[in-house]
Amino acid sequence: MSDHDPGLGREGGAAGTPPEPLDGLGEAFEALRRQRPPRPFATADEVRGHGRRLAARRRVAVGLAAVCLVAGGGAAAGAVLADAGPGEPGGTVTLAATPPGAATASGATTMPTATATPTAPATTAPRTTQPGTAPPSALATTVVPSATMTVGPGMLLTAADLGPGGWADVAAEPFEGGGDAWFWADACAGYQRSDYPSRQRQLDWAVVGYATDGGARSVLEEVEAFALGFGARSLADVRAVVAFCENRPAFNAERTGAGPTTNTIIRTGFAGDESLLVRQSHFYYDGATLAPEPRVTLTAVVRVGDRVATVWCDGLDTEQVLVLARRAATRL
Amino acid sequence: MADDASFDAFYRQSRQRLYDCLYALTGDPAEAQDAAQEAFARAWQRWPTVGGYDDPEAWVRTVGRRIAVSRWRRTRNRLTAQRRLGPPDPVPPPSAATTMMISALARLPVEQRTAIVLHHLCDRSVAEVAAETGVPVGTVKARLSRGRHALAALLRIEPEDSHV
Repeated sequence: MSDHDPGLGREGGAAGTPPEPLDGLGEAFEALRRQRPPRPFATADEVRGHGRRLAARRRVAVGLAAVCLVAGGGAAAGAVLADAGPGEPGGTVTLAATPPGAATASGATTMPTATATPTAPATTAPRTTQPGTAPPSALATTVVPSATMTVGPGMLLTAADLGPGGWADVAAEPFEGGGDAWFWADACAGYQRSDYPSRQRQLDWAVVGYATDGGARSVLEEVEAFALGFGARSLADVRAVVAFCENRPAFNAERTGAGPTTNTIIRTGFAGDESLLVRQSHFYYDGATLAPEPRVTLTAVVRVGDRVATVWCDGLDTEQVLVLARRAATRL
Repeated sequence: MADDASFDAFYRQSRQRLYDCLYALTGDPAEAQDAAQEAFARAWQRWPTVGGYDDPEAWVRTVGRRIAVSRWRRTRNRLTAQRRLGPPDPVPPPSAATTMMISALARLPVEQRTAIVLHHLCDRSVAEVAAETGVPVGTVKARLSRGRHALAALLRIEPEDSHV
């Protein structure tokens, strides 16, 4: 079979033990098999090439994260668990405490708290340490979870914070069930939770969303609370993921003609203890036609102590986003 | 080179199955294809390890599923009604049966949908679904039972529930 053959025949045998016989639903499920994808499958060569590029970028990003951490004076220092994390099977993160999808008083959705089951002592030497950076002992620390580190309803932006314009709450339906809730997890391909140590130290989490003008202007806010010292580490992780995804060619760009996806820090130090403003740009299809210009959105990340607000804005200009970011900081 | 050959064979054998599963889970063909290709790229990064697993397809499926259900991506796309990199080539529209099934699956809670798709479309046993989703076998059975009844009602067909 050609690599470009979409493979309409059922390739290979069924993996694993087949399910028991189906009833009247069987035909309905059969209708879902052998669906033709929108584009021909990438060739195996293309997939391997993409994997190699991801690996190279990861090495650079991990090195940058270590440098950022050391440059920051080690305030955000934390132990790195040597587990795979939920980005890959075999991780040891378990979900506990907060029921999934539990609504807060504000209508925000809270997520189950990720509790790391250590596979190694907390003083394990970080595997991300690069030659020439701080020795492992400088990064290792004891994590002291604080029972008071939560995200209360008053810490989230309200529609009133967004000003006039008929902003309406948008349902948080996608924020149910499992998966990685971190905003930056899908900033670009190749994300691995285990590269970003703060993900293991998130204690509480909530999200709100607002839209107006039929979705032409939208704001989503994620507020996270971290274990002692890991708020700053979270900002270092954001810098690392932005560096990793700074300029990434679109998958199959040579076929689609799409330009690269970019993530760029365009401003810092405008709110809270620490803040970043990230410009994200990517090409997209408007129907079946590649849009001539990329879509650009702005995301502000603001830290106050060990709480971090991420405010994603579509259709707002830089000054409007900065105003919102400062309001978010005040609420933290 | 041996790695290349074994990965290529694995990719060609399993890509259609992974795409079918992710399409059923997300209801979005472009999202499903992006997630599938990304999952295979990640598998290649770790192929010396993943390729040695008894069932590397389970690894890729789990990664693909997690990518596909990225909540932020889905929320942003929904808010902006924006298509991700979509089909430049015309693709025949799905059949009425496919459309009905995808619509019905989308109305199930994500946990039930995941169990149903893994079991009935990805051909995983109940025990394997339990292992892949990290919940007890009894929970998978309950999700399958509830999901099948809900699905049957949506599709107006009669379920037989004896096997779960």
